[in-house]
Amino acid sequence: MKILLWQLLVNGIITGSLYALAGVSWGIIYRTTHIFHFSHQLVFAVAGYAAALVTSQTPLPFYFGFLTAIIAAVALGCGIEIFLYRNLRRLKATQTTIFLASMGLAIAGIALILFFFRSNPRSLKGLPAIMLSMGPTNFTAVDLALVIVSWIMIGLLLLLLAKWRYGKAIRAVGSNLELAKNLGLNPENIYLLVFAIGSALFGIGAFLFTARNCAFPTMGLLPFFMSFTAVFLGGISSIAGHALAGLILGLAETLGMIVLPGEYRIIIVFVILFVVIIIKPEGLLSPKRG
Amino acid sequence: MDYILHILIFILIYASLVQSLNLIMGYAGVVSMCHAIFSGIGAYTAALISIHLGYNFLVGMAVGFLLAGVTGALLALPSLRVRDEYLIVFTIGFQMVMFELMLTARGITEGQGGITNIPAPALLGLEFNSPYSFLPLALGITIVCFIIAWRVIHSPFGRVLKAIREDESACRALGKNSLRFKVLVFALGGGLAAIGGSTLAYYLTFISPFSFSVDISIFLIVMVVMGGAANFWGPLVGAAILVGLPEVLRFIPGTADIIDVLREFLYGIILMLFMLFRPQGILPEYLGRKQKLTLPGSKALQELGDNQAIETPRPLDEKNISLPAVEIQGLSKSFGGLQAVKDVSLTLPFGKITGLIGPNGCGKTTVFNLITGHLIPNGGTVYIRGKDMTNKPPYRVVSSGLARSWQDVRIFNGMTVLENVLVARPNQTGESLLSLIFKPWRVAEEEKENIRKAFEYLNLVGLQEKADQLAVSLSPTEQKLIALSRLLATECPILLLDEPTAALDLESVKRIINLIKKIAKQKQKTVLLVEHNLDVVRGLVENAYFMSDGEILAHGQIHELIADPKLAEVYFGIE
Repeated sequence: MKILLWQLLVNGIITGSLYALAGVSWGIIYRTTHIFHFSHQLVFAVAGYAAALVTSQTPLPFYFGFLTAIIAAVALGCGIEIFLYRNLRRLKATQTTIFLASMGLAIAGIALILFFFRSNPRSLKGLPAIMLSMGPTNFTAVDLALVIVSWIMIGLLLLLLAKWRYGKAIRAVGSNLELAKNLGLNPENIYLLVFAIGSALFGIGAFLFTARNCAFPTMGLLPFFMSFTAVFLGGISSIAGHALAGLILGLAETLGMIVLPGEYRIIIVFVILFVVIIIKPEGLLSPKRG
Repeated sequence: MDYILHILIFILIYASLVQSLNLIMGYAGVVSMCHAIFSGIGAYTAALISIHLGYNFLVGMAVGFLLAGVTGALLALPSLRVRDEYLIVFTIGFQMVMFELMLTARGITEGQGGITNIPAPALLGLEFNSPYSFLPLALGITIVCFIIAWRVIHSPFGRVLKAIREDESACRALGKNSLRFKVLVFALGGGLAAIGGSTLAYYLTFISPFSFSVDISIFLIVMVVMGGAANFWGPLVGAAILVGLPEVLRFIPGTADIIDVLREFLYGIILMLFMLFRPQGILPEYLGRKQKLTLPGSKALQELGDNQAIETPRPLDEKNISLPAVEIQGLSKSFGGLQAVKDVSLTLPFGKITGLIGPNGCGKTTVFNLITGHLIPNGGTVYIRGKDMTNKPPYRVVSSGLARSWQDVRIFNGMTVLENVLVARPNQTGESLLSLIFKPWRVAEEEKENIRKAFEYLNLVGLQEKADQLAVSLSPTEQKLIALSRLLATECPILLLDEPTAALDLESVKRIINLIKKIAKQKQKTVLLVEHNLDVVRGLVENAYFMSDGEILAHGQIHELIADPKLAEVYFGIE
């Protein structure tokens, strides 16, 4: 029992790290642009497929898959911002309209993936399969890489937001658009920047996910669900809160299996969100409003 | 032939499902991502009741209606308390959880395989067990759902829903408890979806979780959007096209294998393209509205002369005069480290216009927000007509007799001028769903009276001719006038006016000042006027408070304040 507990804890940290990365990737976009970016899951799937195809169809080594995933994700994310969201904003679309358009794109895009690749999963090729163990627990080198890379990326993002000139601009646009405009910032450029950053992070997540599992058309659904849940759970304005909430969700999902059958993991996640929002509507790490 | 009947029945069932979602999405303007679950609750409830208890199908439908209604209300209550975006999150989560439960709670739902052999519905010796006999039943049910929706949409309740969609805080500032309306529309929408779901169960005599997946929820959203959100006939058009379309695809050779993928793709593309190029859908909300606006009582109104439009003033209530209309003590508010309002105390005498002046950004509007309950003060008390109204929500403040206007006008753009004013009428019986059903005559009587009153106020500001136009199509001055007549229609004796002439040309400023003067005098209103333009203030008030940096610096007669060189220095920023 004790061994099982440790193993579940390790699994929880692995899943939680992915959710934390997913959370900050969606959170940076949402807190800056206030767009409920539903197509984020399409970005995840496209990045995952890109990585799987490059490594399996060409002789290139697996880290080219990593690069391809990032490039594909950034290209798609920025493309959506430029061709869809910008036009919608120009047409004075409401947040709901933008959300629905994003949802339409995600559905159509995933249908296209299903059309071209059918439902056969694709996996990454060329990855070294190394098993590691620590105490009573086992995990793979990919698992370890996932945890390390995710938290490095989250740390890097927090550092950028705090120190980098454009990081400060991102925070300014997110918290007070009018003031940011008066300071001479062009919000359109900042929006594009956060779509690039958010998509790159989610692309990295997609590569790690594909390396651990495989690529399939609806692969983005669960990470996307966890990403926005983490954002609302952690507090919309706090990037660190998104990461923490993502980790909590991953741990809860895995450790929840001790008390409930595995099928119920989504229920655990939802109950946590429901309870936290009722008790502390502003989220775990956001300062109380007003 | 059976095939065509089958499709017709599906279109009818979907039309009622889409109409129920239209109430939530189109009219109240909030997105529900779990509408399929509401219909699923209806379907499973009906199936289980019919199989295990053997009751008539109407019992199953009624229980499903109630169960889904309660579920909708419970789901909406906590999420709407926060912000609308949370509702998207909660409803997606709820959709996923319930779908998972339908798959796993095999003891109740039979899991993936679903429930089979649901008895065909029967009524008065008739059995509806073939497409032929089921079509009239489905038609009947859909008509009933549409009639209910019609009744709700074209009622004071539906009007408040639209006002919430257009601008929720402005709607709250008119004395409406918007949360109550949103929770109720979720309950009603959920309940009606359950009826659609149970109809589906009785028709197919088989249900499985896959009829209630997130794809179906999204499918319903696409239908609402395509048909035309907030158009009564939109759901029928949306359902007819989108249920019919995949059936047509079946006849195209070579599509058999990929029909599901193709259908998903088309739904997605349709949704995206409609949002880009025609967000109002095939049938826009106000299509053909013009002819319909021959309102009851509007003819009689035209006979009313200008003078008759204003009632003779009621004598002031003696015991109220002795109390100040509004008394504020030590009001404070800080945002983070910024102290926006510091220890503000002011008194509004009955029947007088009092000014609140000061440079931009000195906290005048924050004071308004604190008095009216749009912001919660850190300290201090607000007494309105002798009653403690500190920390009360906006709708309670309005019912105590104080209403406000907004600097940025905040009229309901997507509603007609008349509707804008009608929403503001106090204590409408028709804002209760039960009264719509049980007191239809009283609702109709009141509505007539409210329309008469609304025209009276529109007449007062000279907008009666434009009553049937969309508010957004009017000029900025006219929009300010809509806001003014909307404010008057609340019948509140105390009015807080936030820069009523901001951003207007001189001619319009004069017109509005004279109107305010006339109204305040004839209707004996107590007014607090926030104004940046000193000419406006001079023309309207005797006494004023001078505010700077969140503090009251001086109080006295307006000409003294303006003449004070120290205050002028603060006001004009002369250092």
